[in-house]
Formats: sequence, C-alpha cells, structure tokens
Amino acid sequence: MTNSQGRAPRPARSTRRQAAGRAVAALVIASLLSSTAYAQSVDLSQWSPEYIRSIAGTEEFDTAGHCASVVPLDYEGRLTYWWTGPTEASPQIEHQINEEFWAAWAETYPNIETDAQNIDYNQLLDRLRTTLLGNAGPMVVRLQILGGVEFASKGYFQELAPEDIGYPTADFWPGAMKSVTWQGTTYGVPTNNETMALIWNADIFERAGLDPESPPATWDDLVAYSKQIHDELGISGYGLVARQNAGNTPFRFMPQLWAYGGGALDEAEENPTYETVQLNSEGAVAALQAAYDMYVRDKSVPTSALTNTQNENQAPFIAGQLAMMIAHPSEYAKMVDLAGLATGADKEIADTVVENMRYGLIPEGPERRAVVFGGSNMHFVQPDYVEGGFDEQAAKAFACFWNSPEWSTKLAWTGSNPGNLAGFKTQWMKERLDTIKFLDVTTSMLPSGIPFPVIPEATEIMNIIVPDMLQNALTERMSVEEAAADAAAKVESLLGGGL
Amino acid sequence: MAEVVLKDVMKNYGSLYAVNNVSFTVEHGEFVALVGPSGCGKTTTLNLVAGLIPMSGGDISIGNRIVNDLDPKDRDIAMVFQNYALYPNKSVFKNLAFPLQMRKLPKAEIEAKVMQAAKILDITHLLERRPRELSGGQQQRVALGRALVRDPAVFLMDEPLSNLDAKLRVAMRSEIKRFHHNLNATVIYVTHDQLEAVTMADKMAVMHGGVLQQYDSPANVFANPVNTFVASFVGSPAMSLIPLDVVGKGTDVALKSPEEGWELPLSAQNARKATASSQGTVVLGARHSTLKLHKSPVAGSVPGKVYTVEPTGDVTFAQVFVSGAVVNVSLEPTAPIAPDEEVFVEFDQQRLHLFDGQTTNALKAA
Amino acid sequence: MSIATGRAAGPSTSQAASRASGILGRVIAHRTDYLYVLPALIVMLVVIAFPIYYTIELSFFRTPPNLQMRDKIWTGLDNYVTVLRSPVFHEVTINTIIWTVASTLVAFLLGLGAALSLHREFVGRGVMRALLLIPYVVSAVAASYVWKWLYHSDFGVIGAIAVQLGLTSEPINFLDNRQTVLASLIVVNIWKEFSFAMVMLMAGLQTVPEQLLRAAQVDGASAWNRFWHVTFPHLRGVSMVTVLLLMVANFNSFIIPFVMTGGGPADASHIWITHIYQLAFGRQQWGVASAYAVILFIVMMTLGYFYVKALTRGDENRAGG
Repeated sequence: MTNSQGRAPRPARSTRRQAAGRAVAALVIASLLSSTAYAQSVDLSQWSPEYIRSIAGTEEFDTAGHCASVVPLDYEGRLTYWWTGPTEASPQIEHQINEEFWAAWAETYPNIETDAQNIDYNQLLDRLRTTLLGNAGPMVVRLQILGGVEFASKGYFQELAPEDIGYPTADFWPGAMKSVTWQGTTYGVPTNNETMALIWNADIFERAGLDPESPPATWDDLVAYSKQIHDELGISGYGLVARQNAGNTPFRFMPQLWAYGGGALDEAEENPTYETVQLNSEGAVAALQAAYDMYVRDKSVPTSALTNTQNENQAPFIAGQLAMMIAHPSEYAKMVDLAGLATGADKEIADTVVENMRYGLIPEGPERRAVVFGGSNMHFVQPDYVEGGFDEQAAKAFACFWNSPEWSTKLAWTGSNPGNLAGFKTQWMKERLDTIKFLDVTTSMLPSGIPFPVIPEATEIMNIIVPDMLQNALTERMSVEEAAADAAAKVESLLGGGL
Repeated sequence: MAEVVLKDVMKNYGSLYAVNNVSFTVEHGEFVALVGPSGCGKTTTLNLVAGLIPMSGGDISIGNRIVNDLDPKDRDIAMVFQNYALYPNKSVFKNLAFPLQMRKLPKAEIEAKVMQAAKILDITHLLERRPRELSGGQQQRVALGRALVRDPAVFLMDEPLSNLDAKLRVAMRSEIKRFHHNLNATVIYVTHDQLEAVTMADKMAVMHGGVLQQYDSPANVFANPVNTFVASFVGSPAMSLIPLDVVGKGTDVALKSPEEGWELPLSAQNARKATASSQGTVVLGARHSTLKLHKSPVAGSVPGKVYTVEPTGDVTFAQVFVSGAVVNVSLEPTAPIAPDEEVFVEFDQQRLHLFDGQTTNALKAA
Repeated sequence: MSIATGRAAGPSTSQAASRASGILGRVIAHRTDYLYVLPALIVMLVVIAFPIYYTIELSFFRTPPNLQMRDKIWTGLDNYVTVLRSPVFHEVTINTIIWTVASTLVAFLLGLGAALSLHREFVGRGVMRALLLIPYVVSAVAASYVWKWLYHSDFGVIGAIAVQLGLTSEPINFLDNRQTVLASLIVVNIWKEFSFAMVMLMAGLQTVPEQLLRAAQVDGASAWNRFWHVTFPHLRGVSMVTVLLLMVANFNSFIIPFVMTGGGPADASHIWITHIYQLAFGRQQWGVASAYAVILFIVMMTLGYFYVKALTRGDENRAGG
C-alpha cells in the first residue's frame, strides 16, 4: 500500500499483524518461562484472592535507590508531562496522594524542572492530537490503555520498554504489554491496570427471591435474574449501557461478547493477529441476542439505556431502583459519597443500598469469563514533536519514579492497581487490602482481562461500531443477525481502508 | 341619504376634553366642513361619527337612528382618508370591491357596483393597476370610489386633499364639489384649510380647543364672525384686530389708542355696540378690503406706519402698524407706497367689527 | 441621482492600458483607505477564508487512522461519491429537512401568534413579553440538559406527571425511541426560538399603517379579515426575512440534538451538522467529513443567495411605490 507522498511503502497490513503476533507470542513465552532472568516478582499462575493477600506486604523497596541507578539523583534537566489526574469527582485520598507524589518527586530529583499538566479525560486525546500536529507536544504522557496505539502507528512515540527504566517486562501483565506493542516494538510502560466487576444490591436480590450473597454465575443467569427482579419488584434489574460514541458501552458489552465466544476481531485469542472479523460469529450474535432479550423482550433494563452512560446508573442504584451493574472498584467509594449527600427519607434508602452493596466476578459465558483489561500506559514522545526538545534522562528518571512498586501502587489507590506487579508485594498493597472493601475481588479478575484490539482503528470499532450494533438491535431497526452482520461489514470496510 | 345629528357629543381622555359638548345638525344632501387649527378636535369628532373611537357622552344619530353603540360597518357611512389608505397589495378593482366583499355580496353584484363607481369617477382604465402605480390625484379618486361603492348615507372625509400639491389640490377641490353636486351626497369634510371649507361647504363648523365656535354658512361666518377666533380664522389674509379703549358715552363714543393716544369716533350703531362692552375695552376688526390708505389725515382715519409691502400681481398688500397692531390693507397693484412711510388708515364704519376686549365675543347693539 | 465624474469617464473610453493604470491609480490614491480595512481583512482571511480553503482541500483526501495528517491520501471525488451514495446520508438528509421545515414553520406561526396577542395593551403585557423572551436568551446547553431530564424515559418529569394524572401507565419514552426522538427534539427547538420570530414580527406590526386598519374597519372587515387583508400582507417583508433567518439557523443547529441525544438512538436524531461533527471529531474521518461540510456549504450559499435576493427585492418594491 503506497501513498501519494511517494514514501517507501509500509509493510502490508497482514505482515504488520504477523509481526505483532510474533512479538506477543514471544513475550508470553518469555513471561511464562522467566522465573530467574530479571527476577519476575509474582507468580501469575497462582493468582487468586488468597494468593494476593499472602504476598502483600512481604517486601520492601527503595524507590530512590533503585532509580538512582537509572538516572543520578542530582541530574539537572527539565520535564513536561501530561496526564489525567484527580478531578473534582475524585475522592479526597487521591488528591492527597497526588500531592505527596509531587512532593516526593521534587525531593528525590530536586534539579529537574517539572511542568506537569492534569488534563480532563475527554480532552486529553484531542489536545495531544492537536499539539502533535504543531510539534508542540509534551515529553512524557500517560494515556488510557487504548489511546496510545493511534499515535504509535503514526510514528509519534519513541521505543520504550520497562527495561529502559530498570524493571523487568515479566513484572507487567501480558495483556498490558500487548497494549503497548506495535509492529513488534514496545512503545510504553503500563502504569496501572484495573478491571471491572459485577456489583449487585443484596437487599433487592433477597426481596426478589434470589440468594442475596451470590451473583449470577453466567450471563444467561444474569438475564434471568434481571427478568425476575423486574417481574417481582417492578424495577430495573441490570444497568445496561448502550450509548453511542461513549467509552462506557464497549467496556460493559465486550465482556459479554467475549464470554459467549465472540469478539470484535480475534483479540480474545491467546495470540491475536487482528485480522479476522468476529462480530458476526455465533458467539457475538448470542451475546447481542441476550442484550435484546433484556431490553426488548423482558424490558428488565432501563429504557434510557440507549442514551445512558455509567454515570446515569449511579443515581438509580443508590436510590434502590437498579439491582446490578458493572463498574470499577472505585464505584463503592462513589456510592458512599452519594449516600453522604442524601437527605431525609432518601438517606435511609441510600444507606441501605451501601450496606447491601456487593462485588463479585463478572459472569462467565459458554466460552470463557472475560473482562476488559483497563488501565493506562506511559509514553515518551519522539523528540521532533516535543516542544523545546526531549530530555531523555529527565524522562527516564520520571518514568522510573512513577512506575516504581511504591508509587505505582499508591497512585492507583482507589481506582486501579499497580501496573508494576512488584507493587502487589508492598506494604501499601497490604494497607489497601485492609482498608478498601472488595479489592480482593476486583484484583482477582485481572487474569481474565482482555485488552481491546491494539490497532489504530480500535477507537472507532469500540466507540462507534459496537454501540451502533447494539442500538440497531435494541431499537429493532435491524434484526439481531442483521445488526451483527452490518457491524462486521463495517469493520471489514474500515480495516480495508474504507469508511 | 339622511341627516346626521350630533347632540352634546363628548370625548375626553382623562382630564383632557378633545371634543367638548359639540352639537350640530347636517341636513340631507348638505356639505358640512369641520374646520379649525391642528388639535381643535375636528378629526376626533369625525372619528366619533364614524364609530372608530368610543364616545364619552352625548348622542349621534344618522338617518333618524341613534348609532352610539354601532360598529362603523353598521352605521352606513363611508370614509375617505388623508393618506387614501388604499390596500397596497390589491388592484384598484379589488380595492373598490373590498367593502362589498366584506358584506358578502354576490360576485356579479360586486362587479356591477364597482364598474358603476369607476365610471362615475372616470377610473375605469385604471382598474387593473396597483395603487403604487397611480398618481396622487388618481389615488384620491380610487379612495372616493371605494367610499362611493358602498352607497352610504354619509361620506366622511378626513383632510383628503392635504397630501396633494397646491395645483392638484385646486383641481381636486372642484372635482369633489362636482361629486357632491352630482350625487346630492351628504358630506362631513374635515380640513384645517379655511379656504377649502369656504369654497366647498354649505355650512362650516369652526372648532377650537374641542369646542364648536360657530356653525353657519360660510358667507355668514365670514360676514358675522361670532368671536375674534372665528374672525381671524376665516378669510385670507386674516382680519386685522386692534385692541382699543372705549371713551365717551351716549352717542359721542370714540375708540382711543392706549399707545398712541389718537381717537376714532364711531357711528351711532357702532357706538351702541361699543358701550355694551364689559370692561370698556374692545377689539376692532376690519378686513383688508374695507380699508383705505391716505397720505394725509381724512375723517375716520387713524395714523399708522407702513411695515412691509407685498405685491402679488393682482393686488398689493400693505402691512401697517396701527396702535401696536399689524393691519392688512389691500391696494391697487400700482399704488405708490413704501415701507416706513407715515400713512393714514381709513375705516368703513359699516363694515368694521367690534369684539369685547375681555370675552372676545362679537358685540351687539344693546 | 447620479454624479458622473470626469475620472470615471476617462479610463472607460480609452485603451486597456490606460484603463488598468486608471484602476491602479485609484487604488494607490486610496491606499490609506485600504490600510484601514487591512486588519479586518486579515482577520477574515485567517478565521474564515483559510479554514474554508483547507476544508475544501481536505475533502479530496483520505485520512486513515494510522497515518499522520500530512501524509493523507489523495482520492479525488471519492469522498463525495461515498457521501452521496451512503444510506446514512439519505436518512440524515431527510432528518435535516424535517427538522428544519417543522421547526421554522411552527416557530414562525407561534411567534406570529405571540406578537399579535402582545400587540394590544393589557395589564401585565410587559411581564408577559419578558417571560416569553426567556427561552430565546437562555443558554442552549443549559436548556438542553434540563429538557433532557424532563424527557427522561425512566425518571423524567413529563412522564411522571403523565403517570400521576393517569394518562399512561408507565413513563413515556420520548428520546430512546426512534419514532419519537426527532419530534421531541423539534419541540425543544421550537420552544427555544419562537420568541425570536415574535420579536421580529412585533417590530413589523408597529409599522402597519393605522389608517389602513381604520379603512378596513370602516369597510366592514372583521378582526380576522383585517389581519388577513391588511396586517399580514404588510408583514410580508419581515416574515420572509424571519423565515429565512430561522431556516438558516435551524439548518446549522447543533447544540440541542448533540447535547440531548448525540444523534441517537441509532442515528434517528442525526442532522447534517451533528453527523459531520461525529465523523470528524468522533471518528477522525476528516476527508469524508470535509466533503460533507462542502456539500452543506453549497446548500447554505444557495439559501443565502435567495435570502439576499428576497431582501433586496423588498427594497425595489418600496422604492417604486
């Protein structure tokens, strides 16, 4: 495929994907084999709530000491950094930790002049795109897990691997490493990873005649539970989210899709090549049918699901009008906040909800149990596109500091988990496990995590095509099969370079 | 055609009386002019007759019917406006037809009446044009036609000639007069131009400050004005008015100028009128045609000084200061007179007017 | 009245060379005038002319997600063909037409009714006028959010009231329903802009000649007839301007559909402008979005041409009368 600019033709798509596939395969094998080289810190094969508790607080780490071996502590330089930090909606503790971090950074590397910008989640991508066009980007940027591939594919990011900042690749989730690999090269370091879990209201379960302490085990069960709750109590069972052009939608639907054996491409496979479209596979159609059953047949989910994001589920949940939803670990803290704001009769209801809030594993399907592998990655921008030039030492020092076991853990306090798996051994991990409700459950979903396809077209597929497919089926504009086929055709066309 | 009777008609806006106790009768086929300066209430009166504004008091009857509470369309009137008020988006034909359309007459009848009116006013060749394509005079005729087509009991005309230039105004004046004559129409005609009123009307109603001053034929209004306002309003140039004191008694009465001291002896009849004055002061009124100018004093004349001389071609008007008042005298066009000349003004005792200096009403022999 | 200048006569009768120097001479003679205009001209070029040019240029390229913008691929008229052939384009066009025509017509009629009723004096007229102006001056974004919650399918106020009054058994689905979403949005749009029409027509009503209304009254016209034969024809100029302004505004109307439904569900409330926005900023398909924008631009220019023509035709009429 050549373009009119007359540059050397890029490798054809298939070879690009083959290269990616090979690289990932190599990584996985390496991570499974390595127990001595680079001293992999944790044993992924044993992952469970019990294992997590057993390793927490078992090791001490000297952050400053380690990073000094990468870049001397008295190094003089400058740094520019963009990320989405704590916002008004974030819990107080996150703001506190954020301040502690910057204070510690200044203390450890006092001679690095730092300009750090906390940019709103929805604006960060747009601002980065615009400034890169003008060669005025920051040196270092932290983006949500799927955000980086578009820039990597355009050649905006430098090669960067955990080893460059003194950490073994084996200490990072394979899925996370998948998400920072493009055409066989690694271009980032995972800073934190999280997965969502199923939340339910035990009180509602009981009143509807269900066992209050056990969540639906399979997706079929979830559909049945939702119907029962709606029939018995007249309220919504499951908080379906199907809004167009919104990130929340694929994060909740894809686990369902993968569980039934479907997928957008082959991202759920062990060694995906991102070549075959799977949106019209049997599994995908089954998942779509389940959503249809809930929305159209049973009417057991909110009618406003078509325009809802997860935000719109929070109020009904705390008001006891919604039984189940899929959300982040931090949702519990959010519910506590909301209950604190309630007054009068509402307060009683809200408090009951908080008391009865439960976390469990996301249901499994005939094929597997799956959840979207979420998180963020840190990237270095190519010098040509950085405003004022790139200071390599400063960037490395910073990346080492941020992604240390200590700070990787602290900075992911309420909403996520350390990308650097050594963090699971720190005393702070122990503190988190002791103080944060449900953390053991949400961390145990991590091995089931599947990242979205790591291709630049992924945003469009996940944010536009998949929600469109849902909406086409749920509004009965098309039949379930037609909607799936239509979506598959769109992805084919997109990958082939079309609209 | 019927008569119109106004009885004690009142219209007030709060404490402002726009029309104050006006009463007069318009006979069948009469052309009555409502005259007066701006703001005297003549247009308001017309609107009250038309029913466009509600009355505050009194009665109005048209053709022996009291119409106080009737809508304009039920009073059997037609109106011609100062700005013609033709419907700009309709053809002349449609303009004429509109009132009949509103009365829901059958199409054939409408057409017949429109053609008839158009013939009378000689506008048949204009029927397909729009108002903006017509000249002022033509528009005026269309406005008349629209009134005519309704075959009303009374035609109400609100200063219809004010928008025309002087020459056209003169021509249209005679046309309206012919119109009135041919149809024997009853017309109430509002104007601020006393010349129009005088030349066209059978009767004049002179109004001032909402009050009817005098209602009489133009000739009578001209010859026997009932007060100084009417006297100075009708006739052009206006009657000259000179305030003077009454001196003497019995038959030996004279008018003395308080400023210049001269005395003008009065005839017996005038003396009787003068002595009837309430405070011993009068206003002497004389029209320009009744005065003569002399270079030297004669009997019955008083001294004056020429202020300006206005030759108009037909006649020359001289304005002379007499006792501090300006007096208009008409002279032969070739009269040898110049400003600042000392002259003597001779009064015709038969044709001079005397008004009470205090009440301004015309004085009568006691 | 025209003033013939000796200068104007000169160059037009002499040869091309001296004609050129004539124009050049005039430009140089007036160079300070051009200097005064220069700042505004520069701003216009940067803010208006250049983006238009760049959009037109972009419309002939493809911008795949894996290439930087400067490496975009030339496709000639392919984007236009894609746009004009796609079924989504047809759907969105129909939506846009319905949206524009319905909003404009009803907003105009409502505004006319409001202007007429506010034309005569009554107690509280001033307050009424101010109240009716509120939708127009209120922030569109704020209003959209409030209406979104009024319409909400599960917890909306309108639905709740309907249930309480016993009109329906469950809350009404306005926005999550492909059949009703566009109409629901149109209602909000009308609510927002009818007072603009009201204000324009109120100004027009002031100019209806009083004598003409009196003449009609004397001629026996009822209130309706007076309106139809005198008032309304007189308002024609203002009405045309208002309708055209409303149409242009509605064609470009973005905030209400974007904030309330984002074009959903399933494209049922996408109008041209929201669709272009999604293509460009949601899906990074700059080339196709630009082609769309160029098509929209052409349609707007056509509408604008008729607008200016209608305006100046009114002037000619008045001058001739």
